[in-house]
Amino acid sequence: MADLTGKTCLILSAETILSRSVHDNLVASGANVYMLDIPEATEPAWDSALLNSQQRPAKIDAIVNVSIPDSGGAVGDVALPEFRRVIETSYIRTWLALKYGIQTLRSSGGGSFITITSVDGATGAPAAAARCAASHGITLMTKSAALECADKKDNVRVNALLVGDIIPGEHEAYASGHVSPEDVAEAAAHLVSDAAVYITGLIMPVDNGRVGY
Amino acid sequence: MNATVEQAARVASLAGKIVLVTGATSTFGIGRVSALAMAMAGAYVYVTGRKSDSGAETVAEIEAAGGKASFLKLDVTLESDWIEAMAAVREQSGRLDILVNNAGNAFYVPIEEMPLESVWYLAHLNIEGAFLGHTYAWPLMKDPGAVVVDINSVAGQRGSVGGTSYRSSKGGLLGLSRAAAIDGRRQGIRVVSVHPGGTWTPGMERVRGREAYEQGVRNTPLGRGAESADIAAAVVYLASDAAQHVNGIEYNIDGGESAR
Repeated sequence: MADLTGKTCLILSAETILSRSVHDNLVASGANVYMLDIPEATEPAWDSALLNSQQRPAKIDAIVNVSIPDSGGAVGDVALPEFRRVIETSYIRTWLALKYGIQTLRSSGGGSFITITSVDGATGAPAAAARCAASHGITLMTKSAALECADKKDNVRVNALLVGDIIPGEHEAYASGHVSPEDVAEAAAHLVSDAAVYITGLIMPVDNGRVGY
Repeated sequence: MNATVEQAARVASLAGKIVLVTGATSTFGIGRVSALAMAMAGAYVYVTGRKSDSGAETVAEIEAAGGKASFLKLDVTLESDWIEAMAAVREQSGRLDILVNNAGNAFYVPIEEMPLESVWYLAHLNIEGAFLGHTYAWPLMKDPGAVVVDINSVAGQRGSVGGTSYRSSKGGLLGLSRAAAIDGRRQGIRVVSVHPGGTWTPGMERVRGREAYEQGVRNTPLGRGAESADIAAAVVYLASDAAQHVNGIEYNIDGGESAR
């Protein structure tokens, strides 16, 4: 378990099994943890709820953005409104989280930004047109944001976890692609911690071997 | 040292193929030069774009080279344009063999200065434009020989400063291409993703300018840039029956940039 004593972490997510698990792991690791859901994909919403919020803690050391896109169905079957809805609620939402999250971390003197998205950001998958597009896009967004922060020497690290199918409970290794929420939470806590201080621009699968074979 | 359009046209035969290329009207752009090379290789080419005058110019250039082509007005971000264009292809040709999703745009802005509208603009154009292409072309495509060539970029594989909107949109396109390569199975449709590195095109001139382009390509292993015909040579091969087992790949034409 990571040592996060004294750190303040913000989870950008609705309440889900995964975000709850990330929350509990960060708390158990010694961090103060807040959860914030900003469903509206507009700049004023993110500015007032995050960067220029009066309610948030003044210093935030880490932001964990949970953004696992819906599948959207097969290419040829999925209609534009559904495809666009997935792009908006994951890809666009993650861009907003990065834009306002990075500036929030900068105002705290630096920190760690982590996006948790789908392992379909690393490979294609059947009947997952929108999820493949959105999560691939999120990986490239993460890499560019990491390079921008490094270029500014702002002490902000930006990484992404690409997770397999989240299924609570124990899973047989290997290569099933099934992971528990606790597995993902543990990886996120590591990237929050000072043990990961040289890790930025990393796209790390937490997928029980799915992309490894 | 660059390929010529004549060399690109000799890479493989596309005799009898029906082709549609998006964003095919910019002089010396990848779409226009690919359209020309494919027509010279024997294909009938639907040249598409937003501008009717430069579309007519492109068709005239193809006809002057002995090829066959016609222009269809098509803004790839408009679903209604795709529906109309595909109705025209169905009426005139009855089928489509090859779609080249080429239309796109780029700009580099630091994330804190980039407005959301610009992120949406690039998502609509670079991701949704190709998505609509797959969606509306597939019903006209049949095995064997059906292929979609998505023109991506090394930008879809690597991050860069200022790239949270453009590079992510090309990353999104790569994800779509991979998903389509898998979902295309039920119709025998191949999907390949083409990734040019530094290539001297009107888009490059606009986005980066000659000086930044020259500096960028000097830093690649080959130390020189590509021209549109170098990309067209790959497009002709990948679209041809000679490549009929090539599916779902990233095909880089980047002077070795991706080896670093």
